[in-house]
Parts: sequence; structure tokens; C-alpha cells
Amino acid sequence: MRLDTLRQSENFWAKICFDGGYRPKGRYQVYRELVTERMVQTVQNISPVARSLLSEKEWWRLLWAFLKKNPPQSEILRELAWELAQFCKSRPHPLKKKYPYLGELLEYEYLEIAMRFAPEGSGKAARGELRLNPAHVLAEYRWPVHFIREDFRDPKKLPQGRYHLLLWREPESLEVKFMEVNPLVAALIRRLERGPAKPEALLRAVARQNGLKAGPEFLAEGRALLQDLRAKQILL
Amino acid sequence: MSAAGIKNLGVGLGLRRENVDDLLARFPAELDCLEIAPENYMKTGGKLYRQYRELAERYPVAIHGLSLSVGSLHPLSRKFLKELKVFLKEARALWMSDHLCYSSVLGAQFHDLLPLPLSREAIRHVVPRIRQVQDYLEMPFAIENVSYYASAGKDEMPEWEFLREVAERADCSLLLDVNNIYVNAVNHGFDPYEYLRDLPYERVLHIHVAGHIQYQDFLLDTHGAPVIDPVWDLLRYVAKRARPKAVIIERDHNLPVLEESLAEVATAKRIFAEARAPRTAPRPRPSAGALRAAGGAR
Repeated sequence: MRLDTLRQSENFWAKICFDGGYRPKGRYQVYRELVTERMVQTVQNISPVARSLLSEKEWWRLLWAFLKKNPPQSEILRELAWELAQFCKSRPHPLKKKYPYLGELLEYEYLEIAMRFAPEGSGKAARGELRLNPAHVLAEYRWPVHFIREDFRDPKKLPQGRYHLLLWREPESLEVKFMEVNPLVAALIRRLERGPAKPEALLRAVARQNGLKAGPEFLAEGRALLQDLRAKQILL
Repeated sequence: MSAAGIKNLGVGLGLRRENVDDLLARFPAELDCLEIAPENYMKTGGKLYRQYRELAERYPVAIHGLSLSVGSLHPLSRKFLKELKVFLKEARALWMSDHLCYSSVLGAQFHDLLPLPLSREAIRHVVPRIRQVQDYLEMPFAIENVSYYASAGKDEMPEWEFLREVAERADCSLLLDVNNIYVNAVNHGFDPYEYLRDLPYERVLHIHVAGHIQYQDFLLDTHGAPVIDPVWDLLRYVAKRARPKAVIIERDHNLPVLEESLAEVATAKRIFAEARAPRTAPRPRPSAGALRAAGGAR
């Protein structure tokens, strides 16, 4: 089947909506406005801190680079913010030098929203086993993006490193919480992501993985940690 | 696929986050049903999902999608269709609907609705895709006429002929948006009653009514303003000819207090009740001139 006119029409719409260098004429301009404004509004709602760091000019430069090189693929509108974050993390973009942490910040803000919408999950643990709250995510960043706020806007002033951020949604209140965790707790969470485990076996596995001895002191501290994670409803 | 025997859901509102709390607080009896976009609730949990489920216990829900993009040359997303089918089953959906347009090209999402060229080539392309969607979902599928502001290419026929031919060849249902017909009639200078004259009304499963605004030199379908009288008149005309299973008032922006939306629901119900009542004197059909005088851009 010849589809020449449809192909032309698709290329035309892609040029109008995804090519910032093209100037649509007449009423075609409204399509560019509708498409980009919806995207801008969505990212602004999901990632207000990242958006507030960028000037209007920088913001549009970033958006056009994203739309040209890596236009959104997901049918779910809010996932646009995730796609923009992954673009900033993995591809060269015009603001990478000035804001090297932008991708991580966009992702971190997206994850907070994603936790609000995360599915409940239906897994169950056997008696005596610990199960991880399915509405959780553990992110690892080079930049301390969780410190960015109104009166502190430049994480470059803090050391780069490995920041493990745990976000989760409390099953009853449905509130989304976050905390920075140390590498050992991060390893414990990663181990539980593979499936439920008995407390002592879990602690011994994490000790072994990190080259530590699972002595009485380690196990006692570990049990207290697990209790705390359970109280916070990170473990169920 | 036949939509005969499907339960009539009545007249309702598109569910928006902004009116969820109000609806849950009151469960208004004036409302027969709700409409949701599956993209907002698929594979989700949390507060909004629970609220939707609570409302779905009380009101039947019509499902209206945004992203199937039946017009695109890119293959339909199997992954998305699979997830959609799971959601439709969970939602106990009686049918599915989406738009006769592009919502993506080359796999890239616009998150908006862009028109197709009104051409024979486009008909040949979209018909098997609509059949594919309908066969895969194993339920009636209704396609919606979209509003548009500029052509997507060289149009070979009027929009109503395009819509009718697609629906008949694909053997699918129609979601008729009367506001879109009005907006297109004003923007492209045709008589909306000519559009409505020969539609296959037996295929009209679902109806949308909405508001629009004047933008530059044309009308913009914003779903952000009250429904105007000429659009209600179009609904009156349709109500005498179609037996839809859901009529939805769409309002996405500038959401009014719930009472105002419920008043629009009541108006739509009254229009359908009058259309089904025994005839007295015939009501004169508004002319195209009257339409333009009532608020058109041209």
C-alpha cells in the first residue's frame, strides 16, 4: 500500500512539534503551542525544583534538544518527566556543564511522584520472613540532589559521592517519604528486592556481600535496624 | 463488532483530579456515570487510584483513551495494547474509545491529538488498524471525530464522509463529539448540520459535549468553558437520531464548581428526554447563518 501522503503528513507534524528550529506558519503554530505547553506544564508540575533552577531560555533549549534527539515514547504523560531525566543523565545536552546534576534532580523529583502512583503489589512473605514494601524505590546518585531547596541551589558546593536515596509510600496513610541511607542499608534493600528473606539470613548475606563479619554486635545492630525499617513501613 | 445489548450508562462527567474529592463527598445522584482516560489509571495504585475505585463502585465508568494513535504509520504498540486490555478487564469496561487522529508519529508521543489527512490513503491505512484494536481488545471500539485547526495534507473529502467511511469499513462504533463538529464547522466554514445529516447513527455509542474558546482568528477546543447554545442545538439534533450508551460532559480546564457541571449534565439529560418524548410541533433546525451569528469566528 502506498502511504506517501501519510508519511509526508507525519514528517510535517513531527517538524512542527519536535523541531525548535522550524517556524510553523499560521494556525499550525497552535499545534506547537499545545504540544509543548502540555509537556512544559507536566514537567513543571512533577519537577518544580529542577524547573526553578533554569531560566526560561535554558528551559526551552533543553526541551527542544530533548524533543529533537529523544522525543517522548511513553503513552503515559507523567512518564515524560522520567524520559527527560534519562535524557539529561545519559546524553550530551546543552546544560550539562552548568548543571551536571540536572538529570539526577529531575529523576529524584519524578520518583517522588511515581511513588504516589506506584501499584500496591500483591506479593506475600512466608511466616517469619521480611517483605519489602512494593511501593518503594532506591536511587543512587553522584550529587546530593535531595539537599537542593529554596536557600541552597548548588549541590556542586557539596562533595560528589554515592548518595543512596530511599523513597517509599506508607501503605495506610499513602504518604510518600524519603531518607538517605548508607551503603549497607542500600545493600539490604537490594537483597530484599530479590524476594522476602528471614531476618538473620538477610543480615548474614549482607555482611558476607560487604566483607564484614556477622558477629553478635553486627547482628544486634542489624536487628534494631530491621525493626526501625519495619516501624517506618519500608518493611512489611 | 456489534454494540447491541450494551447497558446504557446515561449522562455523566469526565473524571478530573480536581473534582474527585467533591464527588466522593457527595456522590451526586444527578450523575449517571463517569468517564476516565485509561492512561491515567493503568498500572497504578495509591490515593488517586483508590478514589477512582471508590467512585467506580458507585458509578459505571466509560473508558476513553488518548494514545492509541490509530492514524500513525508506526505499528500499534503491542505492549500498550496488552496493558490496556488488562486494565479494561479490571475496570469491567463495556467498550473502549479513542480518537481518529495521530497522537504519536514515528513512535514519538505528542500527548495531544493531531489531524489526519482526509484522504483515501488514510482510510485504507486506519481501517485495518481499528479492526486490529477491536479484535485484540475483544470489545466494541468507538472512534472519535477530533477538532482541528489546520489540515494535515491535501483533503480529498469532507470530514463527515471520511468519518462515515472509516466507521463503516472498519465496522466500528462512533464517539461523536458535537463540540468538535461545531469548532470545525466554524474554523473550516461548513454547515455542521450537513456533517450530521447522513452519519451512521446506529454506530453512535458514545457522545462528548464540551466548551471551547475564541483564540486568534479561530475557535480552540479547550474543554475549558461552558457548553454554548449552538452546541446544545447540535446535541438536540443528534439526540433525535442516535441511541448512545454514554453522554459525557468534558471539562478539563477552568473547572467550575461541581454544581455548574451537574447543571450541564441535567441539560444533556433533558435534551435526550425531550428527544424521546412523543412529538408535538417540529422544532425548526437552526441555519448555518444562525450558527455563525451565535458565536462563530467567521
